Order: sequence, then structure tokens, then C-alpha cells
Amino acid sequence: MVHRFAGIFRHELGMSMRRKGLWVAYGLLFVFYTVLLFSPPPLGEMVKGEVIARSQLWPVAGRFLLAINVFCPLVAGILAADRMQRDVRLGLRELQDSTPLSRPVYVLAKYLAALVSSLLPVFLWVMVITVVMTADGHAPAGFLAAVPVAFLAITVPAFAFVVAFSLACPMVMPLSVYQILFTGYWFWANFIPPSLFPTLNGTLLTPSGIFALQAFFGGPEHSGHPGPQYTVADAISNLSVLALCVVAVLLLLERDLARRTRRA
Amino acid sequence: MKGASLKYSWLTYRRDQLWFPLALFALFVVISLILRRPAIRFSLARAYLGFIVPLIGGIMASYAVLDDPAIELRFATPVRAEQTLLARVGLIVVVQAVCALAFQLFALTLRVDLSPLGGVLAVQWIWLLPTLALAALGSAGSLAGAQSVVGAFLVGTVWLVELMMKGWFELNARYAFLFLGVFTPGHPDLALNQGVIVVATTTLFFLSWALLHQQERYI
Repeated sequence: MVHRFAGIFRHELGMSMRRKGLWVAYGLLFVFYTVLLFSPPPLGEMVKGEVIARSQLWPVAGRFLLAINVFCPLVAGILAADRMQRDVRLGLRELQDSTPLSRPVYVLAKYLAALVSSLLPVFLWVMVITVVMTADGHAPAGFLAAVPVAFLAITVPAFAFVVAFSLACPMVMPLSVYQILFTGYWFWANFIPPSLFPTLNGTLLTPSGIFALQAFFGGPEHSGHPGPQYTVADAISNLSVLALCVVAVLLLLERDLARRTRRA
Repeated sequence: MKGASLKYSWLTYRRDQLWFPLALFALFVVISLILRRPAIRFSLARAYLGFIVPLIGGIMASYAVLDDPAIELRFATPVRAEQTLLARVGLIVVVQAVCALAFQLFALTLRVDLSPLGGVLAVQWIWLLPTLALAALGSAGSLAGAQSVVGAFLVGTVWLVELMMKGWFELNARYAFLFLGVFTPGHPDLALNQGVIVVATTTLFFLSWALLHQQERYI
């Protein structure tokens, strides 16, 4: 079983990483972020001679990854949306059903490969930026440790959440429709203040990373809604709810594939 | 002959290009009926016309040409590139236009005051220009990348980046800000902004047309 999992994982990861679209999409965003990070105001945020204080290392690392979470999960979600649907559309599932590969292993390997392929370019870019900032004296060496931890707590859960939905939802609706709904959802559920309009922002279903930033990294951001900062218990609840959603969506996806096999 | 052609067009027409914009239109109508405060109703009308209609138009246009199981057969027929673009992207824009106009009529019946967005013509500009621009970006992106998903990504990202970084665009890149007319209808640089967007849109459609001639890239 491990061999089958590794085979599907390796194959899907290779296919995803070789997509031109992935590199074009992330490349454009990385150029955009890099310009913002290294340009002086008003264009960007780099103030000449400014050094991140040791006491501010963790909040700054958290805010950096929260800024990444504004746009990068959108790319991950849109790009991952055709990964599962493509296998069904091209008849690959029928071939796979005739092999000893079990559906849960297939779904899990496909999901993890899509997740890793969307996280890997972001992680590499984030670490390059961190190394450059440390090397030019803009950040102390501790930043090199703080950023990967923030990546794990803020970026990975958001990507895990959107990739699971992006694999499953296009199985029951057209791809273009899902991508429109997903883009709108990402804006509505993460960045519209609840005081302005009814939204999921501020509930435990918020995947932007604001809970983890405030609870684990001491970030002052409120994402537009008033009230006390989120506590560690809030952040753990938020991460647990997101993880439960991922598991539920993958289970539903596996059931959907089983139903399609029965009807074939 | 004409009847058969129309029947074929209808049978091969992607129905999601019709039902999905109508579904979102219906959703905004229902929300507007539920939320009765005039300020919220105005915000909803502005959001639907200025943001939702362009997003739907842009992403739908990304799938307009390449997402077709009979694309090789179509390339084998003597249909010109401009005809294909006009038929596929034009139809999407027409559906969006009907939805936008219908929503304005609906807003009028609810007595929602759209005058903060400008006169009747100015209101048409706030949805038509971003819709055409994102449709052009979507079709050019998907043809340049030879994958519909590339166009969809470009449209989604430009839409989100411009909405999230409204202040930054107004300060640093106001001529490339698609939603300047929605957020600040009386902005002194609005005419120049619209001119730049018209030129960019035309260029992107021209690029799509040129790319569509390289049929071997999409087979």
C-alpha cells in the first residue's frame, strides 16, 4: 500500500510541478510581493536602515506569512481545481479502478501531492526572501527560524483547506463556476469585516491565518473586526475546525468517486 | 440550414455560461430584498455591477475558446479567428450585459439611488469596462498559456489584488486600477484611467486574435 501511495504521490507531484501555469502564476505573484517588500514607501514597505527588533521577530514573521495568505492560496485553489476532475474527465479513474489501487489511498496521495506542489514554490520563495533579509542586515538571524514556524502555523492550514475543496468541488460543478465562486469566497470569507456585511470572517471557519497570527505570534491585526485578540484556545479550535473540514471533504470526495464507479 | 446551425450552436452551448450568471443575479436580488437599509442596498448594487459581473465575465471568458471537446474539428472548419472570439467571448459579455441592465432595473424598482456612481452612462462604464478588460485578460491568458486555467488564474488574481490593494493602486497605479470608477466616480484622473484600460483591453483582444491563429498550440 505504501508503494502505491508513493507512486501516485510522486506521479501527481511531478505532473503538478511541471505545469507551466503553476510557475507563471506564482512567478507573477512573487515578483509583485518582492517589489512591495524591497521598494521604499509609498510603493513598498522597505525603509532604508530599518532593522527588525529581536522582540518583534515573531510578530513580523507572522504578519509576513499572513500577507502571503492574502493572494497565494487563491492561486493554489484555482490551480488545484482541475487535478481530480481531469482524471475523471480523461477516463483515468476507470483504468485505476481496474488496478489494486484503493480509492482512499488514491484520494490521499492525490491530495497530498497537490498540496505539496502548491506549497513548495511558496516555501522556497519565502525562504529566499528570509535569507536575503537576514544577509543584508534587515532582520536578525532568528528570523530564519521564525519564518518556517509561521509558515507551518499560518500558511499550511490555509493551503490544506483550499486544496481539499478545490479537488472535491469541481466534481459536482463546472470548473469555471467553481473558480468564480472560490475567488469570491476567498475575498468574502477572509477580508470583508463582519460589521460591514454577513461573512464567515471572524468565525472558526476563517482560513486566512489571523487566528494563528494573533494567538501564537502576537500579531496586532484584527482583520477589520473589533473585539479582543484571539486566544491560543481560539487558534487551536480554528485549526481543528479547518482540519475537520479537510477530512470531511476528502471523505465525501472518496464517496463520490465510489458512486461514480458503481454507476459506470 | 440556418435553423440547423442555430440548433447546433444551442446544443453545443455551454449552459453554465447562462445559468451561473443568472443564479448569481438571483442571489443578489434575494439578498437585496432581505437587507432593507438603503446604504446596504446601494453597496450590494455597486458590488454586483462593479465587482461580480466583471469577475464572472473574466473567468467565463478564460474557458470560452479552449475548453471545447470539438476544438480540433472547429479548427478544421473555415471559421476565422475573429469570428470565434466574437462568438465565444461576445456571448459571455452579452449575458453579463443583460444581467447588469436587469439588475439596474431591479435596483430602480427598489428605489436604490445609483447617482453616487454618476449618470446613466457613467454607471454603464463601471461594469462594462472592467468586464471587457477581464474578459480580454482571461482569453489572452488562456491562449498564451494554452491552458484555460492560466487565464482564470490571471483574472482571479488581478481581481483580488486590485480589490485588496485599493489604496495602493489609487496612490501608485491609478491608471491601471480597474475599479477606480466604482470606488471614486468623480476622480480627476478617471477619463485617463478609462482610456488606458480601453487601450489595454484592445491590445489584449488583439493578442488573443493573433494567438488564436497558432492553432497547433491548442491541439
